Amino acid sequence: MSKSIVTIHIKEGEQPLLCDVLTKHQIRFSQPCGGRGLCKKCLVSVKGSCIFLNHTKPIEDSQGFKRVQACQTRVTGVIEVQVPKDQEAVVAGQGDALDLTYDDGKPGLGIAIDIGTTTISVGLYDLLEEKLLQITHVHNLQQAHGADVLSRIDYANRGGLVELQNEIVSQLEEILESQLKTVEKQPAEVLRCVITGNTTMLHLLCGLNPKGIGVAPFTPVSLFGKTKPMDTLFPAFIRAQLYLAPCISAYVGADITCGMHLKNMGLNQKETILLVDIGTNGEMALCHQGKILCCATAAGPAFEGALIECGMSAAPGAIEALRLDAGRVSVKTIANQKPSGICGSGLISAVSALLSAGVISGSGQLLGESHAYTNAIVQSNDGLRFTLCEQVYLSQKDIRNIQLAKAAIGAGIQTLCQLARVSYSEIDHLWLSGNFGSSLIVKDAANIGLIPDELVPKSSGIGNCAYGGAVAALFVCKRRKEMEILAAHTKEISLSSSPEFMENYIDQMAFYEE
Amino acid sequence: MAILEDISQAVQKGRSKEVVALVQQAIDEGMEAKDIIDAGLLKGMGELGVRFKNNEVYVPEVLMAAKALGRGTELIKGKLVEEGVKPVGKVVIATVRGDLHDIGKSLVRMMMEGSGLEVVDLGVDVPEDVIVAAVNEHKPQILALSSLLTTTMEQQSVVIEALKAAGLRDQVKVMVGGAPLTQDYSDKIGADAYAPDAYSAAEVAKAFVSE
Repeated sequence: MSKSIVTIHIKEGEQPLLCDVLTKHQIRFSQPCGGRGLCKKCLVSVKGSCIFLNHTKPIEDSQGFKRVQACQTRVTGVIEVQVPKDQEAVVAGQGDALDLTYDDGKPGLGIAIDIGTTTISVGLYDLLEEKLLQITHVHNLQQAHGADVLSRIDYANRGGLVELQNEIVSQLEEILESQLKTVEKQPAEVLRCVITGNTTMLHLLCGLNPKGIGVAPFTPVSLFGKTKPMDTLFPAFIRAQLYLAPCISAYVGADITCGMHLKNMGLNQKETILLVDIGTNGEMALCHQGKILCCATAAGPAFEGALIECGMSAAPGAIEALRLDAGRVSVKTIANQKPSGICGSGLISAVSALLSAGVISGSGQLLGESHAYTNAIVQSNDGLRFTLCEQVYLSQKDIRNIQLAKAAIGAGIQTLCQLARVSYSEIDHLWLSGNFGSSLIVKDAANIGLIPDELVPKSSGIGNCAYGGAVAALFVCKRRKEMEILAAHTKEISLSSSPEFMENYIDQMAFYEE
Repeated sequence: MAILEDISQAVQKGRSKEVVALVQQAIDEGMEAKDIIDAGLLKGMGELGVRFKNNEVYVPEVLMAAKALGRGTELIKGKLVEEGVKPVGKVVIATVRGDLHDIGKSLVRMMMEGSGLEVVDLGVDVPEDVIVAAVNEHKPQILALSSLLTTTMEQQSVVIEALKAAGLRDQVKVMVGGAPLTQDYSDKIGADAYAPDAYSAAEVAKAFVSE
């Protein structure tokens, strides 16, 4: 990993947290735990005057640098910091080619945006020529305030709402400015913009208080589905109309509405379709005989590599598959680079392989003996670990976190189908959306119980269908109305108060019955 | 006694029927209820708790074991009263207002019951006034609060303030827990203890009642 060295000075008398200092200097990194010292994702090497919180005693390397958690270190004087060079996440493509009738063509530009909790996609289009001009996929800079929507809501509650809004607005402005510059166009040439995203992200974009989303009974300020002048948020875009796609509930957002719309889930759909978006929150919708039910389940950030000791996002060097063969362990990494961690799809592959080889028991226990891979087992202070390669391992605790995450998704699917009285054999398609959903190996996902076995032959990854749906609504304005009808027609079931879900969740925590 | 060890093992394996049969056999053999509980049922739950803390077993196993423990305890309840055995202490437990998470709180309850404590479970999404009323009514030594969301942990401090306002804060030890919590946070809101997992929670509670 290439590194750059930055020298930072602070004001006398102040002892700011290192993570805040770095953020102020535009050095960004993700803090999935929201700066509570738990996830160890903000590790940096530092030299100079600082103090370490919570009795941490970092070890010094030969050049005098100490490896510390930025959220657990206070800066007291001049320091030197080595930070990992910014890693761009690999983002899967847009998925299906769009079959669109461009009946609204007027000369001008259009913009489609999907604001994900983790990743943002922005596309610039020529509305008349029906052509994509520029597309950008970047990390959401708000990640510095936590990986999941709840930590962002918490940050907003603690007085950070304006900061979060400014952050997303200026990040989008910068992207759009650079895209327009590349194609030598002006903001005033933009006529339409469609923005989708989960309910919380849209609240933060509009500066609406997300507090009600964070606590039961989970009441958002707005469900959007509104058009307004774009310059109310982005002053440079004086001629454009901004459409915010409609959300269904606090936790089933406009991203799902857009995805459902793109996959023709609607009142007239004859087929039975299940759409599952696996991210930090698993959102899913089932369309059956003109009725649509949806739900959201908290999978946690494990599949994005957070809360996994050697976890990382799906970037070059991330292990994406594990193979066990006659006592030999081999890994495949993204871009075939030297392994530096394991990403979500790698976790699924690894756990599946370890289960099949009898290294992990049906209840999820990592076994120290009675299998062909005892050489890879290491005893640590926190229990057993399985060595995947020199630098990367999977711990017993990691496996427990994966169990929680997969049980949340697996039980979500099970409960949704139960309450809709739809059996797996009746389902015609299972669409898996999102970067992670699209990249996982379906057979492995079924082996660990993330999705039902019966649905394996009917499953396909469809990329970022939220973005695809936003593009659809950008070109054909009447699709906005269709989406609003769809959102209003979709009924949400609340899993957190469903006894069926609780029972299924606990059942699904184990891998197999023993 | 071999049969007590068998009971302990059956609890750990979550085998309700076996536990019930063994406890009945022990009663028939004339053993004291207190011994059956302490050296059999609770010992099993305690050992499972250690394995849970070490990640060797997981939530489903603990739930199964707790069920087996419950079945065994039920059988012996009357006999305990006859012998005049009292629970070692009383706990009121709740997931705070705005938070619907049940499993973590229930695991703590089971581990506490497995340590011989009497636990009054108020459920989830419990408003502060209901908690204060329960403390007033049940007079527990310990109040245990759970919150699984960063957005609801603030509510634990609201409960503590409500206890103060009702003049009950000195009469009860307040323990807090839940995924987003830390020792620092617990100190900040003036709780008496923080426990990072269900097993530790039971250990802390036991220590409080034996003070």
